[in-house]
Amino acid sequence: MKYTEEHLKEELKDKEYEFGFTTEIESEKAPNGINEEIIRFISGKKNEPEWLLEYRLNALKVWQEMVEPEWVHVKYQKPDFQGISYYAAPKKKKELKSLDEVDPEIRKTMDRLGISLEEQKKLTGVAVDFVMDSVSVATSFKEKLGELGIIFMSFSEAVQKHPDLVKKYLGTVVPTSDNFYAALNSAVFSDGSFCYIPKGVRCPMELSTYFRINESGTGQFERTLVVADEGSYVSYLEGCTAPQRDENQLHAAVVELIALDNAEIKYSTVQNWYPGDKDGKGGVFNFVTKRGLCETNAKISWTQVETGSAVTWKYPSCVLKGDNSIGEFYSVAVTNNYQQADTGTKMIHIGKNTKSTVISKGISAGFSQNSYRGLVKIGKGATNARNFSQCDSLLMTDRCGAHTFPYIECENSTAQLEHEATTSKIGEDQIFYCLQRGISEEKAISLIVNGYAKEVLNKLPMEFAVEAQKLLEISLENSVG
Amino acid sequence: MTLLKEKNIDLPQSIISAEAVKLAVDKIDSLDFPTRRTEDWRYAKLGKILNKKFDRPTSNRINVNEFLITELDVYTVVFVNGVFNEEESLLPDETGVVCKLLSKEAGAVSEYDRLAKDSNEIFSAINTAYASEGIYLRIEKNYKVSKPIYILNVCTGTQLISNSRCLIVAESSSEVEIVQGFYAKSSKENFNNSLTEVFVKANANVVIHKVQNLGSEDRQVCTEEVHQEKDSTFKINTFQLGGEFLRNGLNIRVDGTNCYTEMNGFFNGKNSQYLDNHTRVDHLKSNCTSSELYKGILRDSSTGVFNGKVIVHQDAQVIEAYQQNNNVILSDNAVMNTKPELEIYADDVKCSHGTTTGQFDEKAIFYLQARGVSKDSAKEMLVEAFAEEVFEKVENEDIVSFIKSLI
Amino acid sequence: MGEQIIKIEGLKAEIDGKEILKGINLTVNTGEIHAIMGPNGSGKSTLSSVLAGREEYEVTGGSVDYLGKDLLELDPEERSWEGLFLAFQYPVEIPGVSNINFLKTALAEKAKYQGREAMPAKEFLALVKEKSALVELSDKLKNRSVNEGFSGGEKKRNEIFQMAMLEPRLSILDETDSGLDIDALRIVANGVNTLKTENNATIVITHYQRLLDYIVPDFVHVLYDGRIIRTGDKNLALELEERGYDWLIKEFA
Repeated sequence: MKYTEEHLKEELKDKEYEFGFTTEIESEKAPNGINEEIIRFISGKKNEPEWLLEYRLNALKVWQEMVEPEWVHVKYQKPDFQGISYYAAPKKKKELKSLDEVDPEIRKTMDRLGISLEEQKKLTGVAVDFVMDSVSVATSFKEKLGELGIIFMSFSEAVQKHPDLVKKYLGTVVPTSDNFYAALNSAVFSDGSFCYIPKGVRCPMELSTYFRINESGTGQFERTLVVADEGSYVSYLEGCTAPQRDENQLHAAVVELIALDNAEIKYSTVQNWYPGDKDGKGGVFNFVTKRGLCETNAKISWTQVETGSAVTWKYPSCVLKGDNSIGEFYSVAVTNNYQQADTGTKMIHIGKNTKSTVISKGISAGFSQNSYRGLVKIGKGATNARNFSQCDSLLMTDRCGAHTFPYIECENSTAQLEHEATTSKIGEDQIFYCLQRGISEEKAISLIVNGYAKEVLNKLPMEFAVEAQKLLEISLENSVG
Repeated sequence: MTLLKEKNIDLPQSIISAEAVKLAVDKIDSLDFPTRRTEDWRYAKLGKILNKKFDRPTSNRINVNEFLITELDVYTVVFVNGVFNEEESLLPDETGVVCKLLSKEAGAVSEYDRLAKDSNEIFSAINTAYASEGIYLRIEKNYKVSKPIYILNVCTGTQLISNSRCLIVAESSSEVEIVQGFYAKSSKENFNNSLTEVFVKANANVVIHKVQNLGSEDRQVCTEEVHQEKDSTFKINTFQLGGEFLRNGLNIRVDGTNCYTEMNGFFNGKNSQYLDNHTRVDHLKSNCTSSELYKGILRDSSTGVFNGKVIVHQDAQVIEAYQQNNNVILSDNAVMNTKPELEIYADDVKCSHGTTTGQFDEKAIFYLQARGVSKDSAKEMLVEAFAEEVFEKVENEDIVSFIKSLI
Repeated sequence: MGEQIIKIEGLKAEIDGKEILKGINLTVNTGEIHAIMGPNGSGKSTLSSVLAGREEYEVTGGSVDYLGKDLLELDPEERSWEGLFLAFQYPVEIPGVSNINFLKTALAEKAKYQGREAMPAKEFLALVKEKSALVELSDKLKNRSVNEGFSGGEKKRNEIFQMAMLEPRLSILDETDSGLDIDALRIVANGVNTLKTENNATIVITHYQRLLDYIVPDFVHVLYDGRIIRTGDKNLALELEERGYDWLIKEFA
């Protein structure tokens, strides 16, 4: 039986969003809109120190003077920034000492997502900081981490307990004025995670945060700050999934990583927010600013598997400031139906002997548009800098698009840069070979796609890799044209 | 027009086509002048080329012997500062070739400005509005021109602005090879704005070799608008040599099935040269192949830019598109900016691009040194070897040796 | 004489409007090895593709009975589940998919079709070990991506390894010998011979008589211009080796 576009159309109609459900929790919401008063409200709610309020107010001023960016290859209905509530928190705010104290509704949600804290604890040794609607509800393994001097807590908590550290590093990698959405985040960020690894400490477990967008009409403005002090190591996992919604939801997070001398940060993301329905209605707008700073001999590695969101705009980047520092970016981005993704990385080489590697695998299906946009910049002083970039695109149907826009700027004569990109269709020969061995088409596609993305999936921590593979399969079910 | 006044461009309007001039003038008024924030001009310091007061050229009587390709039997069409020079020209007199001045054909050629008018390139509009003269070539159906046609554009004088214009129509199943040369003679701070439109009709075959060897203080913006019909072949080889600021915009619309398109380029940056190559291929129909190879050397404090775009439109299936850009930086002060782009809206495609920026293998240099070759000569040998891949794409050996003699 | 496995009658097929198979008749019974020989472009590979169910080829006439079923009505994967195996002339590379994972998936899907439980991992690995020894396939190759970075000989050995794992009723070896050196040829042939039982059958498509020294056919068919123009025993192959095809073609004309 020949698999035609008619089949595809038929089958795509039935594709449902697997995690599409809503948790019913009462939450406390700020009135819609953004202005100085709202900022003061948020800051007040969180009992923030004066300097942080000033930081937010300054960001608001900067943001108000900025123009919302226009992107050539991304089309969407721009959010109404005055129609969004910038603060929502679950009403129950008491500190939880054990998992049993977690709201049963949330527990049920976690179970459906397969991320039960207890299971995670037992099976994977992961400490989970579960963020629901911007406020952390449960944090585990704190004691164990505490013994090592590792700080891992919600951002708001860190502001109260470790204000000096927060103040020292906040906004140092992503300045307020960096871009429109970073400025907005700096003004209204709700909560997020803070992580500090002391000198010479190797964090013994993967640190993990699960994000969920929940309250209807609530924008999410996460702020994450990870500081790895000299000679330390940490692997940080961020995973996301969101309930089905009809209206678009804006997510504009800022993630800052700081790897001091000889430190290493591995930051992995699996993103599976609601991508909208088969007609392109609804879905999350994911406009994220992620950037890491490497001091001497430091290393930052970004790994991401992006399957969700209606619109994704995201360039996890590395500023290789210190000599001998290393930046890595491994990405799989899947788009289906009417999803749009414009993602990639920036590798800014400043120090000597800096190295960067970029591996990007795009997979486009349905009517989606999937772009890789990357910058490799070799500064004048970046003697002996090296970069290797490989950007591949796989096309599943004849109505989707795959685009590659690498910017390579070199100002040093000892640098060596190599960029390769390919775009091709999923191989009919490969599918037939599988069929002949008795592997059905759907399974064959899943095998081939997972194989295609393997270089990246291999970079994920084990417990994430399985989930990521499953996501790829779900995202691409019946998607070959 | 105020904009152009600001930019010190003050010329009489073109007499080639009143209708086209009107459109162009309106467009100039409606378009913003490119800045470094304009995506397609992000590395160009345009201010640098236009912050002078340019005058209108007058004299066009100079000897161009030094620019002739002596080994090769060619027709020559000579322009000096955009003005036709009859004495120095040897126009084609074959039955299958129409070769006339555009001003004499005023408005009679339906193809004139047809490609340029749809672009939003302000320099193209400026050319249409102000080019006083240009050449019109039509190769009749099934006709193969017996020898290459050599179009020379020579800049001379100081702080002059000239617009070069060229319209080439290759009727179906015709064949022609063209050499376009841009040179300077006692030239100082001149600005040349060249626009060439090429129609490659069904099954026709057009080859262009473009040589840019202007004076060390000259600036040029050079645009080609090419339209390919089914079964046609279009090849263009660009050699960017002399000139302080050289910006090339090569736009090819492959609007027929079974076409072949090839773009090759070599740029050789010295001193503070700015060498910019923008290419764009639009694959609009199925079963076509395009192949691109650009190689650059950057010395001293030169800057190189390569931006190659391949766009495979929806429904243009079975497309193979290859793009390669290799650069060698030979100095600490040289800069290379590369941006190869693929935009794919069809699925049955094989597209790839690759780019490298680096330096010559130290081991190779050392090997040559060990054999008694000085380091500088060793580097030059490697430069030659590096460029050879591009020269190999030029089939006409005499043209190859002519261009090599310029480097 | 064994039980009938496949009966091809008057099979005609075309690609892009060009007729390649112009009426093939061929019956294969259990326990038999058939060799199909013929000059380039005679339709040998088309025949194997049509039997395996490649969609580019349109069947325009004739019938194929396979174990009592209408083969042409089955999807490619159903043909596989029913025990039809094609050793590809050019085995496809599937980057990132390990050989082992590939086979595990294939066996699991077949088991599901047959209503059986998938084989436990331990048993599966034991089977892999046993069968790979047959074609001297190293552990390294087993864990590598399907055919990726394999030499020509390794690819062909991998095909026979897969054949051993899937235990087909009818195997079609499409030019499995081309490009093999004599050692690899010996290994491949040895594998095929070991897998031969009274219950299965093999069709060997080849250019070269050489292979038939190792895999001895019961029947040799000469395919020319989309038809079988001569059938004989193994001596026919020897004669072809000596005299070429021209005399046969002349006779046929």
